[in-house]
Amino acid sequence: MDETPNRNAAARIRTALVEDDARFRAAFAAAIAGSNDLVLQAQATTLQEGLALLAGPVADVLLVDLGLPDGSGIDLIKATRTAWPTCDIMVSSVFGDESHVLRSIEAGAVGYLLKDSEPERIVEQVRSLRAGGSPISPLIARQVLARLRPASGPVESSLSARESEVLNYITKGFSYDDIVRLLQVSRPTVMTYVRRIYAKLQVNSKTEAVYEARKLGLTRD
Amino acid sequence: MKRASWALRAISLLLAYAGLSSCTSIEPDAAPRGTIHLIDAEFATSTPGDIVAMPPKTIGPLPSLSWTRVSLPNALPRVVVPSRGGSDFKKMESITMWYRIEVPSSQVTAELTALYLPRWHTWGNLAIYANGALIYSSVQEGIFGAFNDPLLARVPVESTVQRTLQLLVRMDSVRATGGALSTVWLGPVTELRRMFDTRRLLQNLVPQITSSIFLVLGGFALGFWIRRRHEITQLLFFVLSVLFYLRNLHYYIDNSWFPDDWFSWITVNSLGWIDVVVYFFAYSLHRQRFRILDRLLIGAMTAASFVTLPLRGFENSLALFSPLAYLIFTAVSFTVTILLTVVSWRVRSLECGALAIVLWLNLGLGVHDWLLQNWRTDVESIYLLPIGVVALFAMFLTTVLRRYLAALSANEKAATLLEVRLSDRERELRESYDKLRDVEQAQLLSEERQRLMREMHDGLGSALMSSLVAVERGQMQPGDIAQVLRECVDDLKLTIDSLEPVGDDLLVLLATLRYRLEPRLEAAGVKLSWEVQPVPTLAWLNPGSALQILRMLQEILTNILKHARAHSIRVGTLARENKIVIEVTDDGVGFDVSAGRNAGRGLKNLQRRAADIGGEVEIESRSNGTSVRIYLQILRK
Repeated sequence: MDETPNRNAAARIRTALVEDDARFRAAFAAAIAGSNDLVLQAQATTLQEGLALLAGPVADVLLVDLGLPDGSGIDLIKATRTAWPTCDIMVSSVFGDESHVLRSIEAGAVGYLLKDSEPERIVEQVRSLRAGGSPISPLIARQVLARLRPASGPVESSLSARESEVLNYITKGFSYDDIVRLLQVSRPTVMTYVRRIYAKLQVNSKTEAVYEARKLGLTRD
Repeated sequence: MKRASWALRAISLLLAYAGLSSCTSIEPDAAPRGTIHLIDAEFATSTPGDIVAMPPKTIGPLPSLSWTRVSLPNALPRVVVPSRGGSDFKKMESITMWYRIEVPSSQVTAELTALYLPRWHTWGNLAIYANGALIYSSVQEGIFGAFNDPLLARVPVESTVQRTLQLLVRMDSVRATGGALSTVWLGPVTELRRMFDTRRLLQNLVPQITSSIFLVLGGFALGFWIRRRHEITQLLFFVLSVLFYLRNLHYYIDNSWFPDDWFSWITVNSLGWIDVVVYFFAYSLHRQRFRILDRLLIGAMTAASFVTLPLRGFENSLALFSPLAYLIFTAVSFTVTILLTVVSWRVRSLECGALAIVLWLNLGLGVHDWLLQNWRTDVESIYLLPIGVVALFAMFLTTVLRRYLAALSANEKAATLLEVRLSDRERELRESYDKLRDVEQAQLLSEERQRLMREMHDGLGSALMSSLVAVERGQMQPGDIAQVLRECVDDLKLTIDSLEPVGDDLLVLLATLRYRLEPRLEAAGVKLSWEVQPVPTLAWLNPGSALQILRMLQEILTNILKHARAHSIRVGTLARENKIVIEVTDDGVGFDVSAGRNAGRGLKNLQRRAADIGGEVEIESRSNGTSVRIYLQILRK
């Protein structure tokens, strides 16, 4: 086998798409094709096909639709977290509304993409995600602040002072650039904070699930 | 507890039965071996008697008296209503009664070492002679010592050696009260002592023991009542025990040390007050009030007690009038008992009925005792009321004990009851709260549904409808269609954002809009500077008003993007007095606010939306930029 395309592929961001909406699949494929650093490695239209993808080569970014015809994208996100631990998962959403996004983050997603985004925006979002940046809307920031209040639970799932500060700025409408300026930190640092907050949300939701299960008597310690 | 009260009831009934049966066999003296029962005597009287004089050591055959043959027991009848009285019985008209008893010589043996009299009754002294020699002399100083005491005297050996024995009994008394002598027993002292002791037990000791026990129990009830004043039954029990104690004193004590008149007063009145207490005790069982009778009873008894006080007003010793007083009390008891019987039947109270039975029994015993006091029945009978009253006490005790136990268990139950009640109240509160919340939620839902319907009808619906008509008529270019749809999607996003829970935080709302529009501003190359300052929360901010604010700002920002050719936009907030100001400033070309149809319509639109939520809009446009200020009231009525 020729090694050149492989090397090229390794340098590029390998994406996978699980989406039942043909138009959006086409739009996404077109946007990826229009870039020179992204590649669409695999596509699926159902949950079953999506789960089957996980047996294949690892992707760097997976874009999942939550409303798949044969099940919830949430299940795929969870499976991907285990099968492809290095993969950044992104959810596609029409409105990017809080309840959808928050559930996805708790399952292990680190970003989301609005379906009506311009092609340039799609490419930019995927790149930003791979570079460690995660978007966080003010409404979600507000929810996270309420859920992961400092010292409200175990250390691994409660916010640090700096993380709370970042979230507070976000709820007031300040952009990452604003926060970089206000907190006198670098942009990657802010990104790291947001990623950590996402991770804590995920841990928190797991702890809550265990707690709930224990309350119901489903598990033994 | 129920079992205990039944046991007590059974005991009281047994006691009552015992009292009743003793009524029929009131002769406790069965003739033991070696004893002689003397029932024939000769009787004579002499006047004036000498009530307190020391009897002579020897005495002759008294042939001057007119002797008549009588059977023992024998009595000189008592006057029920004395015509003349006095306060000192020693100064009243007196009489001496003589009984001469011949013992058949065949029966006189050396075994006859003692003499036993079941009863002798006189207001003076008694002396007994055997063959003319004094063998016994009483030391009576008061009235009450000589009516209820049996007598045991030693017969000297000298009296029996001659095989002839004549007994002479001398009793000094007050003419009005008369006197009585029972049959006479002669025999070995051991046998007679047994008979004497049995009689002492029944006549003297039983009243003494029972009244002492009840006094102690009464003290306990008093202690209980002092801490729990509403438990009147406890107080009644105490009062009854005191009255009973006082009443019974004369059955067993020799009152030579206590003024006779006061002693009589206590003895007689206490019986009347026992009637009154029993009457009120019955009230606590049947709960039927007879106010006139209540007052009548208390009033009459108080008056009687006052009138008979041995002070200057009442010169007579009450003892002299006691048969009359007892008759009156009996009449009162009779009335009370009939009343109680009727009431207990009417209220169907078992307790009350039991009390009525006990009262009827005691009434019978009372009649018997009255007859005995006046020697209209067997003189050798014993006074039964002091024994019968035990049944009454048992009734009281049952009730008092039950109340006491009820108080205890009520106390124990109170805690759990309180808990139950508390949780009941909690549950009720929770239920009513839940109900209220349900109603509120239903109302909110209905309001929200109506609002969304209106939004869809006036906003998205009409925009889509008019575009559809235009497209069908071929009046719209693809670019225009995309524009309309883009606006529809934008508005839909705003609507969804307005539904997210922002609390009362205006800044989150503005932040959400920025988050939405940032990509578009970036794409247009417009720089956004965000200069919001903390503002007070808006309690009135709900999805409806949030949507209006979002629409106003979106309209302002898209207008800037469309028309102003601006390089930067500044969004700021500040609180001023009772208002919040949202200011959007651009560095675009500006426009004439007063002129221009489109600008005018856009402005009117903004003002209408602002007015909807009680706010105002102000636009200031110059050639180098435009400022739009939205004023929102912090507190809305």
